[in-house]
Amino acid sequence: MNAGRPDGDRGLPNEPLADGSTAAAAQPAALGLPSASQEALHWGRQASPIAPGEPAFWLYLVLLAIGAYFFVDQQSLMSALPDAYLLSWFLVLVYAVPVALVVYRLDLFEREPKLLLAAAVIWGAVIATSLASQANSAWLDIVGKLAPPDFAAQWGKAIVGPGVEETLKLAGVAVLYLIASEEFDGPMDGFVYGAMVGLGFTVVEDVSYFINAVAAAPGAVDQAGPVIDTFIIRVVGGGLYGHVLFTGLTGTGFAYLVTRRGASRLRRAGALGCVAAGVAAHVVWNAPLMESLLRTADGTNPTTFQWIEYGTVKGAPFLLLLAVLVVFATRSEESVFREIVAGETDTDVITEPEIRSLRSLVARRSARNRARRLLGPAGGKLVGRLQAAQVEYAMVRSRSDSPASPQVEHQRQRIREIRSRLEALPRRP
Amino acid sequence: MRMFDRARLRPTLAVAAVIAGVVAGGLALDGFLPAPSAGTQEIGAGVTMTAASGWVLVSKASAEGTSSDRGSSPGVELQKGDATLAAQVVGRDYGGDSQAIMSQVRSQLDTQVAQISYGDEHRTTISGNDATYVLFEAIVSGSGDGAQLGTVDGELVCMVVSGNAVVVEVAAPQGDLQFVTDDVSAMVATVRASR
Repeated sequence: MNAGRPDGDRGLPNEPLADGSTAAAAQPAALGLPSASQEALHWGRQASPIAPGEPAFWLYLVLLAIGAYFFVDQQSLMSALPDAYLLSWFLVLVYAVPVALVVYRLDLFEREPKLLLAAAVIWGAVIATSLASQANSAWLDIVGKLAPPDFAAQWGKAIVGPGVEETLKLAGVAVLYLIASEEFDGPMDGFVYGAMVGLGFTVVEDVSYFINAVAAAPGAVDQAGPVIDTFIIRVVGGGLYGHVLFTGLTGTGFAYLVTRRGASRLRRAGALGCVAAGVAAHVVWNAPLMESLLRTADGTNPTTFQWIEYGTVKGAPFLLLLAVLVVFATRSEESVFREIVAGETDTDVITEPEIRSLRSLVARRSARNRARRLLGPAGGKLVGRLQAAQVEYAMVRSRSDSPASPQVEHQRQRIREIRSRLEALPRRP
Repeated sequence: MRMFDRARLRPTLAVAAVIAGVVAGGLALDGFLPAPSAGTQEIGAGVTMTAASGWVLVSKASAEGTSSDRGSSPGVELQKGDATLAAQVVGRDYGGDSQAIMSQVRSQLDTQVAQISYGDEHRTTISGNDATYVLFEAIVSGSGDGAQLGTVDGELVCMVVSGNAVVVEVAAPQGDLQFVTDDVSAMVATVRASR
């Protein structure tokens, strides 16, 4: 009977946890978060960015038109170096697609609507980059006019870049919130949308850096060399510590502020600290600090290892902070998930061990691997489908008026079918 | 379709105002603030160059050590951000062309830096003057105690202006030359003999 249950024991949804509490009782309050009920109300709704009733939708459209004008202009200029241009886009996509998947999948319990995520990427790639290119040069000029030349030369980019770019990217998260506020249930959503805005931004910015490197190289016969050299610096050396990190942090803080209005002053100050940390990460990244790590004895370009070391020293503390925030945000979402499924009496739908196996990508993978070992590759695949169906069940359940609604019942039936197919698989000896 | 949500109008306008403040505000303030500029400077032998907006005078450079050519004059050194531009008349009553100047300057430069590589030379006419320009990348050492080696991108422009051999040398930290190329083109186009 339990052949299809790689987790072994079939606990009830509210069976005691190891620490004596119950699944549903593991509330976010323990983490200092408000009741999950409010979040649960919004789960399962998939908002669209096409919302003509929202003023922010029209703001998005106007800025997209302006941004697209500059974006197309820039791209057509850069495509004058076709080999470098194609190689640049290939390389940034090799980096961006896995990052997008990881960010998307880190949102374990309530995956965001793909169209809204696309709107976030487009904001970063088209709107924020285009507006930033205009604003950055203006503000750099202003710093140059007001500050001593040496100070402007050394610190101009560390002041202007974060100020302009983080504001424009976070404005994108705010606009998406105003278009589809029902999709913002907690800090995790701010992380996801912020990271996607940052990803769009970094992709377009990286391509322009790659092409500029080719254009600036003496001779410029070899279009691939400067692209690959700059790829090593920006993506291999600093890919983990760039705009995805910066806006991931600011977005997390923003989402906490707008979704946890009843939180204590201290916690709201902490959320503001997240926003500040995102900006600070960018300042540190741009600042002329720790340049000694890049020095070489003979004055040649730093090695790949030096770039990685330099990037790690500057960016790793902020990445660690973001990782901690994501863990806390995930626990908050797990609590919401538990609350939604807590009333489920049919143990064929979900069990406590299964809930535990859903709490992280690692736990999910290890449950699938266990099934693969016990039941073969088909078992691993079916457990993956079971996990997806259980997450979907919580979404359907949260948007249904009654636990007995046909949609909820249909989802239960789907889960039972997957489970019976699992149980029909022969165990490996 | 949902009715227009007036309650969201104010926060949307607030976000729009922030974006406008950063972009339009920056452009407006930049336009409003007068840019420091070295203005029109004599680079030697009555030849002048007008500095672009934001380029300030660092020093009247000494001709010593920059040219062995007869008749070289003190030039000027300008700075904008971390880019520098040195302009100088390196020869009066010059009978050669801009490519010959370039050849001389390159041979001197080769001895002054640790390592240098050039792009293709381009010969053209700038404001009616014969000119040759080339991009380069060089490993140079800083000045003073504990000076470090570093890589710079640069551009050399050699011109013949009313019988004067003129050299304009631009240098910026690696990757930063692109931010001043428009300024350099504009300034080189203003080089002329004033008497």
